[in-house]
Amino acid sequence: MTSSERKIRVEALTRVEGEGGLYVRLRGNVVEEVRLDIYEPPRLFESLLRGRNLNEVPDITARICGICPIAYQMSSVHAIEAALEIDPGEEIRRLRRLLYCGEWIESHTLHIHLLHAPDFFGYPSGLAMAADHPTELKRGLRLKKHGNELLELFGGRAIHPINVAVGGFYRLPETTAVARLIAEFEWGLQAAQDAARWVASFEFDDLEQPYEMVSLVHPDEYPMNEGEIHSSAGLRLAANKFEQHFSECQVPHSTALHCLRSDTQSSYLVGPLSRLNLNRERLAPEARAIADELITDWPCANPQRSIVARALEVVHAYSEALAILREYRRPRVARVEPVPMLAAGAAATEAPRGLLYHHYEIDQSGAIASATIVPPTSQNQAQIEADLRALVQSIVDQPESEIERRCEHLVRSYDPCISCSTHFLRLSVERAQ
Amino acid sequence: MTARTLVVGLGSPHGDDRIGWEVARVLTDRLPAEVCVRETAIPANLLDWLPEYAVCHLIDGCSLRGRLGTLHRWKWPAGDFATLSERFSTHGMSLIEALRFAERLQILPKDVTIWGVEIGNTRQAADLSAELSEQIPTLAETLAEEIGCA
Repeated sequence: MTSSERKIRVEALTRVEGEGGLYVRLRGNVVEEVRLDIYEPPRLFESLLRGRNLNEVPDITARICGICPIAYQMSSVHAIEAALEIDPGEEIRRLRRLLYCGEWIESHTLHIHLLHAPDFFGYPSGLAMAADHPTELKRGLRLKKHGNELLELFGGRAIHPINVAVGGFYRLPETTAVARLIAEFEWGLQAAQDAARWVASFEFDDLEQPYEMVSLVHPDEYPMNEGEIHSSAGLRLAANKFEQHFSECQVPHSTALHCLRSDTQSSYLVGPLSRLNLNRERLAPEARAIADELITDWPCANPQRSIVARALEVVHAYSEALAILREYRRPRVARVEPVPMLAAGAAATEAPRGLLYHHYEIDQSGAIASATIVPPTSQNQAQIEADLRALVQSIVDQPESEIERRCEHLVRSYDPCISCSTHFLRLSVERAQ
Repeated sequence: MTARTLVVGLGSPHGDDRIGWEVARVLTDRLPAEVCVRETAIPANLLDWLPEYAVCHLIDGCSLRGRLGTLHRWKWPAGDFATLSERFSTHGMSLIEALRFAERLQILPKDVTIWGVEIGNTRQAADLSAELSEQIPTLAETLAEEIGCA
């Protein structure tokens, strides 16, 4: 290292899902290199899926993530149903949204309370924060429990659910079992609004970024399962055209692929902040009212304030879940049986962390011939590095410990799911002559 | 026994580490219906369950180099766990971290007992060893008596 060179290395990021590190190299006051190092081993799910029957796909893809398994199940069943031209009907569609509400509640409240909030108070962990903020954390855990209960009821279990099927659900709960959730969800709707006001009261650094925000947009509803892909730069495309406009590339320092806009080779942002900015008018009334109360400067492009966007989406999820729970009557038909045929299909849904794209080719027997999965954390990686570069350049005169702290906080703002993103492996074979 | 009681078998599908689940399954039939018996692979789930109970018994595999199947007992707070570090991650919250977290949130039952069963082979996806499997009825009998419901 030369006298003017400084290196900051965070070997293992804490309070993120999965294993990654951070590397920053400075020369004088110039940032030369910033890397989000993802060294979690490749997961190889796309290869694992090849040759498996299409009905196994939602159960296998649910194993990609313990925090957002529903997202993987939803993108996979929508893509396969698009290929096989299956329409499960409006009742199943609403129950899938209900299940997705459960995942958003569970995932967002976990991140807000245990992973991200400690950064704003200077605590090293949720555990360290617990003694001083027990009321808020207990509220957060109770909200998270509601999300888990929805997953257990409609997904079969909270972690890696097994009840989502191509064509619908394997089994649907009795009306009485669903009705038992309503009182707790009524409490949750109010508690989620209180939680949103709490996180909006945090102090945020001035980190506004000129993002290209990308999200699904649906004309009638806040996006979860369906919609066109829109961007704040004016992009409009059907979800199955994703690969024509976005492309994955390998970088040497990561076992996860980076995804960029194909035409400009530029980074972009997916996740709650993008969803909220592109879909604010489609929030449920309770969420819309509190969004207008808490955020007055739209578009909101400060990554730290993604915690507010998450909290607002929790309010939305409670409002929508309550409406579906109150109207629930067990459907007579839970599933449309898929008929295998040679086909291909793609779909995108909104995982808690952002747009999740799946594409499958299916052979005549119903076996998966090829699979492509582009998770939101892969899509955000390049943007995280761009944000880190801008942040470090703005605080380059600070002590290393402060730069390190601020960088970790920024990365956690994205709620990166590193485990989801690592499904890449480069294999080099050299043959001796 | 009048206090609301929770019994949790902790484990994983890896060899003898299944023991907490297997003993909990036997206890489900042995204990009165008002005792809630659950199984989990994820200690963080305790944070959802603990607030509703006054008494909690946790059954898990452990390795203290004792004879296979030996039953150990700790009453929380146990000094043996005091030196374990606070490594907080939702991917890997240990049983002790979950209990500490519950304690700080003031949702920990007043009476918490951790039962550790000496285990051997924990090879990935292996079955419970035959030697330990044979001891399940005895372990369940002992625990049912200790929990006060034999």
